[in-house]
Amino acid sequence: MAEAALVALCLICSQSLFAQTRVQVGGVVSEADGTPVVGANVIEKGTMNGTMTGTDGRWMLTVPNGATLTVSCIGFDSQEITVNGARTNYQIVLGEDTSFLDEVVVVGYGVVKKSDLTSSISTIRGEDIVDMPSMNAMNSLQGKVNGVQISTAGSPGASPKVIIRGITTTNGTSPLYVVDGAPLSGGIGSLNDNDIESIEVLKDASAAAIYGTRGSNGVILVTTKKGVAGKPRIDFSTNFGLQHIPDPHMADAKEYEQVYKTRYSNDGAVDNWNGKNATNTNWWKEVVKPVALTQNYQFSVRGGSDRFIYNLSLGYTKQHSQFEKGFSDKFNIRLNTEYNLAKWIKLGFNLAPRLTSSQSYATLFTGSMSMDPSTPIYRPQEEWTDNEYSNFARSHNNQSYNPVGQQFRSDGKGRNYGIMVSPSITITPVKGLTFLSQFNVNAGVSRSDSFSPKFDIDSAHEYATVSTVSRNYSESFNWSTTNTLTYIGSFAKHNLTGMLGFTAERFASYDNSASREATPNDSDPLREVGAGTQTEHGGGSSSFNTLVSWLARVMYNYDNRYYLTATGRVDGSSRFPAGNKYAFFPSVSVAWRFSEEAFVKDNIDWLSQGKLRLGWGQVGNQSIPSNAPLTLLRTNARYAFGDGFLVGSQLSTVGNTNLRWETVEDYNLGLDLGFFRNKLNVTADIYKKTSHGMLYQKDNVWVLGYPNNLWENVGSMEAKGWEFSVDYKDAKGDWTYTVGLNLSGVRNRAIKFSGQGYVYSGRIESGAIYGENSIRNEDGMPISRFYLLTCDGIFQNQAEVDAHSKDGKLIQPNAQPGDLRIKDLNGDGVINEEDKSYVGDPYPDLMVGLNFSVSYKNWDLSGNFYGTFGNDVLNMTKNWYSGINGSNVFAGTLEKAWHGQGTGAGLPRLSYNDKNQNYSRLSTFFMEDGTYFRCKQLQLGYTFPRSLMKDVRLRLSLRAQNPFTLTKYSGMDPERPQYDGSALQTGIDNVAYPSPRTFMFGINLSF
Amino acid sequence: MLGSSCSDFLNEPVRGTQNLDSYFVTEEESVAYLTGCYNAITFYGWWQVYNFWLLSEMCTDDAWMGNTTQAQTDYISIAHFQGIGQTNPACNNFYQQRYRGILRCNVAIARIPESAYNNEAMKARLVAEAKFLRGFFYLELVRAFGGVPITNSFKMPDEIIGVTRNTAEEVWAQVEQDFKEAAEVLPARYGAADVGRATKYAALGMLGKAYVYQEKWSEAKAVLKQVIDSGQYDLMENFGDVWDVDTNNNKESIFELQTRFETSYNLGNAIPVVAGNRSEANDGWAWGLPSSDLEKAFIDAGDYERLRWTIIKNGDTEIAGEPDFEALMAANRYATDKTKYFIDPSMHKPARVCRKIYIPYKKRPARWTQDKIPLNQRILRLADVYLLYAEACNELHDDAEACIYLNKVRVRAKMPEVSQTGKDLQKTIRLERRLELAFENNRLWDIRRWTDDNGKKMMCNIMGPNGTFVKRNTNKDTADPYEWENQKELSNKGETFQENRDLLFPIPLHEITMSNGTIEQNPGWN
Repeated sequence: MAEAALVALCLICSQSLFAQTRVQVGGVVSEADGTPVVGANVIEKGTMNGTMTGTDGRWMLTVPNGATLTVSCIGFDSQEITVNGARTNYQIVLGEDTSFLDEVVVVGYGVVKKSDLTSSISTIRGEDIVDMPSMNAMNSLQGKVNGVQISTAGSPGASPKVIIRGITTTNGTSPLYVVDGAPLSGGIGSLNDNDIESIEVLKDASAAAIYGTRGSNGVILVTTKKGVAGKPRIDFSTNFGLQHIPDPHMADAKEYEQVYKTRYSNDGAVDNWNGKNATNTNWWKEVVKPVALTQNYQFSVRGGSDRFIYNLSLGYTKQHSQFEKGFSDKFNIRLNTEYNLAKWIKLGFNLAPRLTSSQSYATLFTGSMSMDPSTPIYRPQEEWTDNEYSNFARSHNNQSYNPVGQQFRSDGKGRNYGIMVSPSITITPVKGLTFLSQFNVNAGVSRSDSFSPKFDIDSAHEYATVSTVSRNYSESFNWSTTNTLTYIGSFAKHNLTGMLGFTAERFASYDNSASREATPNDSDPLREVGAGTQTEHGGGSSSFNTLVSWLARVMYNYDNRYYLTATGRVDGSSRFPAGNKYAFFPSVSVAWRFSEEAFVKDNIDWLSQGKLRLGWGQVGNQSIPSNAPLTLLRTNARYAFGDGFLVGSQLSTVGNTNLRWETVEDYNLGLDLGFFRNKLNVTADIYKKTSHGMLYQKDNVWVLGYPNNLWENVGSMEAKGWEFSVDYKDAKGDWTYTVGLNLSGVRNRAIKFSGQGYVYSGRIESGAIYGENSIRNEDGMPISRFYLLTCDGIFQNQAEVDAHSKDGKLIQPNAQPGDLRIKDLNGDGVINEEDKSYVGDPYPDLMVGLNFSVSYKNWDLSGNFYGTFGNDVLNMTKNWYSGINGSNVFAGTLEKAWHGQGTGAGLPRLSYNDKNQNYSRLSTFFMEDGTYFRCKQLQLGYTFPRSLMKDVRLRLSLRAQNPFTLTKYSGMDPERPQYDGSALQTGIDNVAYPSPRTFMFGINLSF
Repeated sequence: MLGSSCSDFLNEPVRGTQNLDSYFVTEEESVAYLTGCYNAITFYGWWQVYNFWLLSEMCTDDAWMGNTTQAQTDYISIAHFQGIGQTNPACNNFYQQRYRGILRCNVAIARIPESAYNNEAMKARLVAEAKFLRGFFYLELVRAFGGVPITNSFKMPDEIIGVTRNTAEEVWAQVEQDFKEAAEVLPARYGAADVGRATKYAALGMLGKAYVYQEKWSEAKAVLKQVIDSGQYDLMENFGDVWDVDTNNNKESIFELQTRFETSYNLGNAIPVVAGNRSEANDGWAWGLPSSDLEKAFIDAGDYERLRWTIIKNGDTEIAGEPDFEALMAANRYATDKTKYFIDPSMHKPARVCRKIYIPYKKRPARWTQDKIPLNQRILRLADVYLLYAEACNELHDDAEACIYLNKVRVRAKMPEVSQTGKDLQKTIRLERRLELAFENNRLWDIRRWTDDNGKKMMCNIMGPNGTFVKRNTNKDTADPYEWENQKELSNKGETFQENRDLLFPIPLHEITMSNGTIEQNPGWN
């Protein structure tokens, strides 16, 4: 349960009221297991006379004899008792409210009961986040929050890519993150997972419009844990894991040599194989560690009284890279406190310092895969020099850098200190009216250092003539203030909540950097900028942005049946030019809780909840650089004159003085259903989001002479999608189980991009491809699809080559049997740009999340699965590791490559000059179905019975993350290509850091 | 927080840069701005302009692409006349960067006169320098692409909707006007600190060249004579001294790209590295290598002095002007025979490199990277002016005058004087330009403009299926052995040359697309 939010709401709602002197009654309100219920309301029915239970669950109230008392607390079923004058002590046991819909949900600048929601908001609780340990809490939302596409990367500390309900802009897809009411730029990777009480995802504009200018990609609200009145409760937990990345199985030296030579002999050429000092090195084994460590320690204590509550936590998390070097870690402290100064005034103070550090490493998956396996790690000992970085062998037969040498040279580290402070005051001058003022500071300092040594493995190709040393410092200081006035009132069957607010934010950053070259030697003590002897570089700048906003919201419902919510926000931003600084973002949403209608309530007992929601709203996007409206000069254009040179100035940016916000308009229709006392819940949504005046850095004719692409309000994109989720939970005897399925789909379409022709992206400059675009966008079409030549199999014999002709002329004159046949789509007899077509879509048709948990007595088992269906991947590994350019190849390539009619397994013949351009032009040969379904985590836990441990709760757990993946995709990780890139280019597999398999052991201890 | 305090709060200036609206107040600002205009001559990066200058050589009989170990995508579509060069990177970059330079100059020309400071002479000079540069940028555009759009002010995208190409005549008129207006104001020479700025005679010399390109012979003759008679310039005594890091801004020089070795900044000439030998002590990139055809032209003319100062060949046992041959070869890791200069024929189509941009071993800067080499690019020198003048005189039938200046160039190159007239003289002058000015970004424009006796442009007789260059290279008996052996750049370069297409480069496809077709392509390109 969202305890913190509960307590808060109870505090706000509770009233201390007049009492008539009749009978004094009192008692304890507890849960079924005897745990006191804190903050429950005990109210004399039909009056305003009431009280609230204290930390021990006790209450006392004076009421007329025979009065009816209503005892209620959010999260529990209400109870009524009749005061019988003879009895003054009442033990009231509240049953937990099984209606899943009656949780409290955090919305922008307030909370509402889930049953009162009119917009599309998903909640995930803290337990589910810590249940899937990682370096970033957003990882654990994958597959659990419907309509949110989360793609993860395996590198230490990587932030996942989050796309909420499709793409309506080319300016980033990242949502706005708000932590305890304070906007946080750059994601929540620096937070401690264990501090999170809940995460709310505001998916539609009627929910996000209250965040105005930054709501267009959705909003993620994070609430941290507060204290709970009662004796201190101490929690300790640790998770310790080992990560593994499966070996891609590259060819050994023998097969590599055969492949290498066959490439030449197939072309009738003499190979230039260099077999001197040949050996057999398994570079993957030399470079990629079989297991890497990940660990996480958490300690927290929380407690308090009815006056003061606190939560203090400490957390440390560290993830190592899969290489000899490299890690990312974070150490967090958080102290959240609340102090009730008087019944009408409450102070809050949250303090959260953090320390994160990292060691850099060379990402060498591709490096170890392409390196020549016949090359030894080191050159012969007699060639060694004093420079230990130079003693590595140069790849004998290709251009790959020695990956062991690369890792050995890697030397970089960084550290970041930060703090979040937020004092707040809540005043309730009269019943129903609450004024909240909160001030937030999020400040940080970070440093990053790097050094690269002088070395000479091959003075023509693999060398550095000088060492380079650099240091960067940056400081950020962001503050914001939020002030809201909220009124909650009910008149007969009319329930009204109104909110007015004012917020202001300022973001400041300062940075400087310094670098020099040529330290006297490579020794560790000399790896300082000050020791460099030449090429002194220094840089530094400051930047500031501000935002002020006025907000208003009305939530009204009649008899808990008919709901209306309307919001409005006026935003003013420093990023936009004078005249265009302000914009207004409205939203309206309505809901009908038909399950509360008498004709349903009285007739259909299996339907416990039923609500229809309809929402509309406008949100904005302001993610443009501050200089976008300005025409600026930089003084950095030098020219040599006389015996020296002058530093000159040049136009560095041309600005657009007419820039405005980008607006996204969104319609949402949703249905929430609960069956059988909410054991079975179904939620379905359909939506349409359309952006207008999309901010786009538009390419223009070069005749203008601009140094940059001008930011303009052009273009419009549309995302249409649906979400369907079903959850079932039940308990029988010693068994409890839950299962949840999330299905969603979205189509992204460019209504208008630039208005001028095609927009190409996905430029490939690797393997044998020298700069060819793989993706094309055009107005009116789905965005960012693969635009390639169509490969139509492999010519099996000369007759097939000859048959592929037009008017007696060969369509592929350079082709031989064993080469790829390319379709001449426009039938002009030649294969060129005109024969390309839209052949694939990197965005999935369907996203599926599946979660289950089962517990039997003290054992529990849970599993989380996620998958995407119908997305395509451009698998560039197929280009790199198939024998072209002399790179090493996947084991078995010799057999898989065509070597005579009917042979091979899908790869064209081996060729060194590749006259048919099998590998030097992009075709569907490289595209694969990227559909996958992955087990994200399997977990088995055992909780020691209370009978054994008395007041101590001990749980042990085993977890397997990414243990298996169902996919036909042949690359290393079908998920990673979706992580990379942007709206205009994604789904290209360049063997970036894949997600490791991780096996973890966890201990949770609390008392 | 309402009202004015709020608008103050929302006003956050961008820091660390200056705003154009508040620039152009002081003299220092104007001077600094002009420095930025000069910077646009090459931007000191290999890919903006230098690469295109090399591409222009690759399209002639003087050069090959040369590098046969790397992707040739930057050049091959244009250099081998494949007819698909609309997206050629070297061509596109050059076009784009020249317009960036033109915008810089346009802003200078419009804004410097409005500056508040009180030095009208300086303002006038700076504007004249900007006009010289703009004229040069347009000249380079028009001779490569034909007519291009003229934009003489800073415009927003909605102000140029429907932009079309001006005719070549209109662009030439703009070039003439810019050079003329520059020449009226610019001084004949500068003090030591300002050497490298455009002078009056640089403007007149370029104007003369512009006239020659347009075959305005009498205007050319008059204005070139002014340069010759200015008394500011003289030929260097030795041809070998013209191109040397120690003779930057020599007495023969009229306009040079200024370069300098700076450890911290990039102020170098990229060509010595980009067109350098890949199998050298200091690596080059081997893009743009002299052909055996050029070598043969020297040999046929008996011109051994300029040959040895223009071409270095694999196996040479000495290099003109290289006193440290032994040290150079000792430092070479590739060569097995250290007595011979090594240009790996498997990596270099012709196994030859250009001597003009070769830097002697001991004169090489401390760092050998493309952006550091302090060899000024000779853009206009007196020998070029003499030959342009001789050409104009010959066209105007003043052959005696023509011979005087032709012979000055020949004598310096240790070649016998000639006394010719008419077409004979014309041929000699044309050959002389090839031999004297090889690899100085003249050949392509010359062979595109010269009309041969059969009425075709000279380039059409060199290239094409029956072109002399093509015929020689595709016949084993006449081809050079190195060039014949290394087919990683095919020897049939020029076979697909089309005279109705390849006398102009294609306008970048980008411009056609972005203008919605109002900027039209040159004929034959699609």
